[in-house]
Amino acid sequence: MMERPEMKAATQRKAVPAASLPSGRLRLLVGAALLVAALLGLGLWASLSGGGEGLRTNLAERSLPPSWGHPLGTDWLGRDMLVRTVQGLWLSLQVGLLASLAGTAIAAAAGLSAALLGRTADRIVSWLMDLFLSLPHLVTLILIAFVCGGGLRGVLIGVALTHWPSLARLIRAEAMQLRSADYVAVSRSLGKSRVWIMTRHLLPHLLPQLLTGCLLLFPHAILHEAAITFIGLGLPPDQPAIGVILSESMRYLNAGLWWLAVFPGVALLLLVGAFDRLGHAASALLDPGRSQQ
Amino acid sequence: MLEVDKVGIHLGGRWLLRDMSLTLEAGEVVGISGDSGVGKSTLARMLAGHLAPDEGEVRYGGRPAARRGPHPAQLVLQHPERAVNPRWRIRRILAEAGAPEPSLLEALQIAPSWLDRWPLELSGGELQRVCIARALGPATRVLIADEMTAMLDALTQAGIWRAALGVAQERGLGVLAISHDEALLERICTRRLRWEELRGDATTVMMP
Repeated sequence: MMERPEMKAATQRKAVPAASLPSGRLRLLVGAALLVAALLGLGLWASLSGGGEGLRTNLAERSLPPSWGHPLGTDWLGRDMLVRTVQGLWLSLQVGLLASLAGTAIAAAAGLSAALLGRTADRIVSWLMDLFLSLPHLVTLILIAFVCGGGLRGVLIGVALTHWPSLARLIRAEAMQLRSADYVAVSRSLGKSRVWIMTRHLLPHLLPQLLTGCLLLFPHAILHEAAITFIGLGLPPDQPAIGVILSESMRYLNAGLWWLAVFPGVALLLLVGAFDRLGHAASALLDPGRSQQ
Repeated sequence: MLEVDKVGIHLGGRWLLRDMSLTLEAGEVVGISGDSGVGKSTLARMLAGHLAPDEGEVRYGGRPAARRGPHPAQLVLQHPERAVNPRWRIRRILAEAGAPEPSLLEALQIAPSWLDRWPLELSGGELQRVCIARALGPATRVLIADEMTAMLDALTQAGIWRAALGVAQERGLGVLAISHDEALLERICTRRLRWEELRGDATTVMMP
């Protein structure tokens, strides 16, 4: 009894495949546009209200639970938690964007050189990929951030250096498949250099994979930035990223100030979830094998 | 022009070709025919520099091909749609071998309106003309045609060969045509070789 409507829906979908595709595409585009608009609004608000009323210490209003005046409550210094959360998210977003772009660039360079620069390069890069994949991200990240002396630079370098191998593997495999194409052989016999072939013939074909990889790296980058900041090796306390806010709130949790941790945490989760969904949708759309689903 | 001196190529310990010798003079059209799977395409790829021989030597005008720059022997493959980057327009595909001369495009009957199209928007025969034009860059001395027109109808086949041979004759290029089509080879070639004849002294290579 339960199967009937499903089967009917399946046959209907089969009958009009062209109609179901644009609607999925449209949904994704609308979702992405909404997300981008929301993020831009967030950034605008954050930069407009930066250092404004909300962030000022106001001891008369400290440790207030959520109310109409302060929707997310205030902290132990009377600062508005909504403003702090938005500022923190914006900072995390910037760090995540930079880190995932850097990670994608490393992955592209490593994957392409492994596939194209000969057997020795492939062996070295593959060994490096295995090395980084064999360690848990967070351990490597802590090590790198520690060596770099913490701070924004340490977080960026750490996240970029730990998150490239899985994407690099994908790029390497794709590039190996592409390089055996007849037109690549022709290009070589026309006297084109490896770098020329890499940038003109291969890279444009790999852009969808790189874009998807970058989008899927992004939530990881943000979460790891927050994690490393939380344990104190990331951004300094004067740059109130989400990790700093969460880590500071721990001291006040047993005093019953639950709103200090819950709302920034949920906001971080929502942001990460949104990017994750966007990444998966983009990969479904850009991957020809899956685009009809 | 082209001298192939006892070349061999192996893959995973097995010889795909061995002791192959061949010479080709400028202005000559040599046809090679042979059974499927004997290594005709491998030989073609090796002569065009796509593969390196594991023994023996291939000389172009008396010396091996330079490591840099366009290869003196250019190969035209059976499937033109695989031999072009599907994301490039025809203009860019042709420009990869240097900007083509208008006279060459005219000789191969490549219409100017094709230049702004994508490879998918041309038919197989039209795309093969583009590939031939790309192979006939200024540095080319030998044109190797590996089943160049096997997928086309007789009329298109004749048109393409007439155009390609016209250009080759005018420039004094050597042409090496590999095909199953005996009638075609009979028609276009100045000299014909069977695959067995390439194996220099095959009869004397008896193991002691």
